[in-house]
Amino acid sequence: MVTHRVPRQIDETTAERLLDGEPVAGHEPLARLIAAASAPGRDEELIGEAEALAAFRLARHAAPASTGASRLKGRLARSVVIKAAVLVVAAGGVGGVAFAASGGHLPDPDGRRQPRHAVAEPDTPPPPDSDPPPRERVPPTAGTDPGKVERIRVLCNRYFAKDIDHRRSALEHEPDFRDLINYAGGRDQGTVDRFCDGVRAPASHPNWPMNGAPSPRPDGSLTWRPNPAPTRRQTQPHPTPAKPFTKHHGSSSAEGSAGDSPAR
Amino acid sequence: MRETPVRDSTRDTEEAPAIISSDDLDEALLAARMGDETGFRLVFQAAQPGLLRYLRVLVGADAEDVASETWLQVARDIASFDGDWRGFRGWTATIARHRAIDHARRERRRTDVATPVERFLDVPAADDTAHDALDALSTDQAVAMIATLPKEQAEAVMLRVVIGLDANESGRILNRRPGTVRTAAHRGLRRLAADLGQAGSW
Repeated sequence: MVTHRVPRQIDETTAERLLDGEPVAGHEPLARLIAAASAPGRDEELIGEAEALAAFRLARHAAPASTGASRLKGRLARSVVIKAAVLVVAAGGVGGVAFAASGGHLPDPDGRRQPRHAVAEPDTPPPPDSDPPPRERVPPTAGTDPGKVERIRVLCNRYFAKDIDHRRSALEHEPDFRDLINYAGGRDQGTVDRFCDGVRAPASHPNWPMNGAPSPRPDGSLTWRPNPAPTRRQTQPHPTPAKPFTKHHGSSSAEGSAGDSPAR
Repeated sequence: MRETPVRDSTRDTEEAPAIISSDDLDEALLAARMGDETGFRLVFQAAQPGLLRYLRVLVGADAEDVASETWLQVARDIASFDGDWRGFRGWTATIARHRAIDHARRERRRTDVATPVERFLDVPAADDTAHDALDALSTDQAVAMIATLPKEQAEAVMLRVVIGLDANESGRILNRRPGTVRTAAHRGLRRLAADLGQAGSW
């Protein structure tokens, strides 16, 4: 179905919002393009690491500054490989990088394993639901308000970082998640799961906020709703990506690069 | 250079992924500046995808080579780099741009022809791309579309959207006033919107 639309005029405010990554109504194709350009990094985009590290070692040996000990503590020291390097885009604030704990090994780019470093401290066990787990940090705002999309992304990341048993009670009790419930349009776990799934998925995912429309609530405020008609992607398992981005408890969908998902 | 992504045998039993914030990368960067390899690897992994995409717009198929030259200089000079993660993004983008300019000069001397991006990606005209790809616009396609913009607009958009710099920071890299950079980015968006609009279909 091809319809020709004259694009709405893009004034400076709209342009700035789009550049911040907001899914501005009426400019969905452009917002999608921007989202695709700033999508999480893929594994093949980490090419060149071994060479860069070799150059770094050479430079260090020219001016040795440390012993072999890692100065980084805790989870940063343990987890070296960023499985899905999210582009840290400053939408008036900060972004984040998702990575998976490597389980005690420090993988070496040329394949050898090194023992876990003695300096690394074990994570403290997460306190009961009242606070976010210590391994995860919500990126701080930087003075100006982050874009709405950025906030949604942050909330969804926090939500998925909880294991399934804790998500329902988190939705009920954590004040920040009230916003998430508003965005998702429902306070039940299934609704929020689906919404956040779409938020974290590539722009081609049918549930992504871009693939929906602003939807007025009874009080007149707006929320985003995914396209109401179920698509094939909603009833089939998400296609297995060639290079999974992140894995998280319970979610049935694995993210893949937007280019890998065939149009269906 | 062939790069094999590292796979850890404990992958399948990993816990839920955590989030590295900018604070973490500040910390990693500080460690890298003091010679810590783990820190260096973290900032590399966080910065490289953005640099590659930016370089794709500047030098097309030679992005990986120029990125490699970029990191040689970064590795050499990082010990004397003074700044946080945000500053590092701008710094590495600046180095990348300089290496790209050097590379382009060498190429012109060698071949007398600038390397068009389209040759790398075999990408059709912007409006055809948009029409085919509205359902599954990949990162590469999006970057290729941005690369069809006039150079100043393309760079302004990439530095903002992909590297995450504001108009002041981008202005320093491009040697332009912030207002000029902002205008260029907005013009780029309007042009992209027009191309996408011509493709129709939403």
